[in-house]
Amino acid sequence: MKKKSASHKPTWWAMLSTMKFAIWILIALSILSLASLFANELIDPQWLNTEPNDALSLVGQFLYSALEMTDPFRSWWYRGLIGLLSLSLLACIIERTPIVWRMWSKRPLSDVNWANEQTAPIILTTTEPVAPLRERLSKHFGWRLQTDSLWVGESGRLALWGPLLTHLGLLFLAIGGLAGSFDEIDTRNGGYAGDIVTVEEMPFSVRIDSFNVEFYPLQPGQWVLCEGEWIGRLIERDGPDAWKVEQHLSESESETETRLFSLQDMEISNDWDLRNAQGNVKQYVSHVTIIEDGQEIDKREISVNSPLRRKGFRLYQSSFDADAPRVRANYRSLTVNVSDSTGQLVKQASLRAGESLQMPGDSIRITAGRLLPDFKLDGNRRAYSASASFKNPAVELMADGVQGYRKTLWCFLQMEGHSTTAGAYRYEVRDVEGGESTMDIATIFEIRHSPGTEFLWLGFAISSLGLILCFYITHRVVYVETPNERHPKTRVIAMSRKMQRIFEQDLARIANRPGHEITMSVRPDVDA
Amino acid sequence: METSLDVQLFWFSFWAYLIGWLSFTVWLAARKKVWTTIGSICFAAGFVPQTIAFFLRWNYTGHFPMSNMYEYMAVMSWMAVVSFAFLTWRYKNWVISALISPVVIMLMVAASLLPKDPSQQLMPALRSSWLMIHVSLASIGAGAFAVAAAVSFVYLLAVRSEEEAKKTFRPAMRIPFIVLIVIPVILAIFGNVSHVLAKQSTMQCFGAPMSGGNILLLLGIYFVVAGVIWTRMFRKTSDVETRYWAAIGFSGLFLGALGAGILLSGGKISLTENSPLRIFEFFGLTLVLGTVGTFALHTVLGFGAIPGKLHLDGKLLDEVNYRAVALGYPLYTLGALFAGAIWAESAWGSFWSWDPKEVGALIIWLFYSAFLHARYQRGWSGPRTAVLSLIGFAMMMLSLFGNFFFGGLHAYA
Repeated sequence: MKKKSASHKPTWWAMLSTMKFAIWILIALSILSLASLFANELIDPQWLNTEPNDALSLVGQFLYSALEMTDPFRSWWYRGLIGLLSLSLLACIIERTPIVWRMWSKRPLSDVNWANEQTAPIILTTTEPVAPLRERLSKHFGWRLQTDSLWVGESGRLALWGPLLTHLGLLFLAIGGLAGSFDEIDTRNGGYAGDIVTVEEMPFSVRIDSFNVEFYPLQPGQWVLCEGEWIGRLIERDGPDAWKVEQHLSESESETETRLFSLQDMEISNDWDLRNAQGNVKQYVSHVTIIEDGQEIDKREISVNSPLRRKGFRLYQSSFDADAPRVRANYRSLTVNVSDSTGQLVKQASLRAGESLQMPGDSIRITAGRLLPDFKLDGNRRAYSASASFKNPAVELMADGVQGYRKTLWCFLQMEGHSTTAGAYRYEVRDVEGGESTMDIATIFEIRHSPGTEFLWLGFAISSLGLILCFYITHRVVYVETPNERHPKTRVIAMSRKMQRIFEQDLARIANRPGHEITMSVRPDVDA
Repeated sequence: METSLDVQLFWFSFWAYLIGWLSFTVWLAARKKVWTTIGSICFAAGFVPQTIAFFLRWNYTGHFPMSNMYEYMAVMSWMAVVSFAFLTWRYKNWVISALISPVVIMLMVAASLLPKDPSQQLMPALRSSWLMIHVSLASIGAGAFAVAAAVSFVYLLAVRSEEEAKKTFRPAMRIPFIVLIVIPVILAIFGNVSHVLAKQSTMQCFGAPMSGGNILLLLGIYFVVAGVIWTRMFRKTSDVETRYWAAIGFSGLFLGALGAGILLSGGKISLTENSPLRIFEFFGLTLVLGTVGTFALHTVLGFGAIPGKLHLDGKLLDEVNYRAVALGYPLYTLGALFAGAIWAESAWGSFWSWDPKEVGALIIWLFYSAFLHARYQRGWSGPRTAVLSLIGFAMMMLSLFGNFFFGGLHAYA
């Protein structure tokens, strides 16, 4: 009857639960993962987008698209393979659980024949009496059973669950991974201090209160720039403001010369290419306020390795935008010299930010505008400040006239005598009082929500436990038979599910006593 | 920093292990107990300062010293010594011990050639206690895999008798010489004369520019020629001979990968920036260095006919191979995959980013999983699992140095 019920299993189920199928899936996953890695490296998706015909043939383009090779590890076929692996794991668990349960629930029988039926039992005979040998063995075996003719010991019983738990954990990991790949929210968002970060699906928002980048001190080996050119590496500090620099005299870096440089004369490159006299980036930290339903709920700190976890969403300190710092500068007042077309000074005025000046008889009105401490023009010829240092300060004067006339004038403070004309007069900014500036860097968060996370944590825990049971605990059973008519010497029958060689050595060591002769054999020399 | 105390202790350990290895090698020939005693004392004398050096470096840098390739290789070699001690204690077989000792030397040589400057400035993502768990478990697992590969190498060689070794050595000597040395040299010269794809490459080798296209061309022709000759060579060879060449070939390959990685780490060679062909440049280097390693191994083992003299217990070697993999597999799984994924969740926002190094680790894990299933459930043993062990370790070497050509989130490691 048992045979009949076994044969009723569908073929696909029988196939899924075989070891052969699992091994083939593992091999297929290995090969295809490797192939995907290479394909990703060799074919640049951006190149394929812009110049598809140069990148691949038509057939290649079709295959690339059909196999979703832009992101092969989230493609339908890769998910399919992971799905098959999950099914194989599930089938394996369902098939093996009753077997493991039977082995677990039944203690070794007090029948020496049972031991002989096990795989490769070790048979050891000794001339030593039973009692002292049992006593020594009992120290190594947690569970013991004694009858008149037989002593049974067992250890490492928990190991029986090892493979099953490992596979169950891996099944959870596969399910968690699959669930996450189908319905994951993954977006980058951020801003400057004061900005509020929101994501449509996220039930709360965060206000950025501040963002700080911490740096290490300068260290030898950092690259040095001088007037925009890489010149070499720092060797060692020489006083508070100077460093010895190994200056490269040729491109191949083979010829070098050690020179002393002042910190003011050079720019130092660190990991993120922020050129300042500091070491590499140590940490970046955002202080945020959590806002939910218009209420401030909590204040938190988000840094690398310390994300904000709330309501299934995770906000990670991903990076920062060093290329677009926000510089804010203000001043109390500025002094403007107004001269006529002959260059004659006609008025000197002090203006606060936003305050206007209009000369008598002129249609143009001048308003004091922004102060840029480090004036630069971007690619669209828009003015911005590259840093908060007053390296090239410039003040904006807005000239407004009739019929919507509007012109922006820039007055550069370090250029002596620099003036700009609007209407009938020339304007020169002579002095800026109370000028100060600050620089903000935008923080960037990675915001994620993945439905499979709980499965993944469960998978890690169960698999880890399973692996420890599986590989570091060994199930062993030993039978000690009292001498009888058939076997006049004390006989030990033992089995170990793994590492039998080591067990043989251990057993021989325990049994070996001076003055007593021992013999040892393994199957097929067993005499049942 | 070359003269810092931890580096001095490292060198002390290096020489101690070297003397220990030589003692064990002498013991293989002389079989006098005094040599195993000297070897054991030397290994103990090397292990203690190496352990102290690790903690000194930890104290100096202020973080767990596993942030560069030198530190990783040093811990791998440390683990190989632990495996050596454990297997010596468990099996009490000096032949096994003597054959594992070169693994320690190989890893120490690799570590010794890498830049040793300690960095006190960890990047933000590495400032985590997971660094210790992730990297140490992964390197300890890798160290155990190294031991398994070494034992497998010996297994594949050991079954040859002395007579067989002598008989097959001379004719076989000429073929690898032609295939492995002469042809690549001719092709390298030929490749450097032609400049088919030279414009795309800026690869540097000891300061001189090298063409990625030339390497590709060289590799292409090399594969064709070597494939034809090797196929013909194996056609009539016995199983023993095939196993011998498999052992030599795979070992040469991972020696090559190790050498290529060391040259890249030391800045002697640099691959073309941002080029998808970098992987082929690395394979090119691996193969060129691998051929030299293969030839050297073949010469030493062939001339000496050492394996035939060892009279090793094949079953014991097989079990040690399995034992080492079974020791390393859970550590690698827990360290490289699980701890790495949990750490990545905190640092990068995702358990798994399909970063090249992550994919590499996954492939290695899948491979060793298949190994264990084949061994435990399908009854694979002997030469088959030995070959699998060698392939696994060669993959490990490629993955270890994968950041040089794939980049990605692990580009610093």
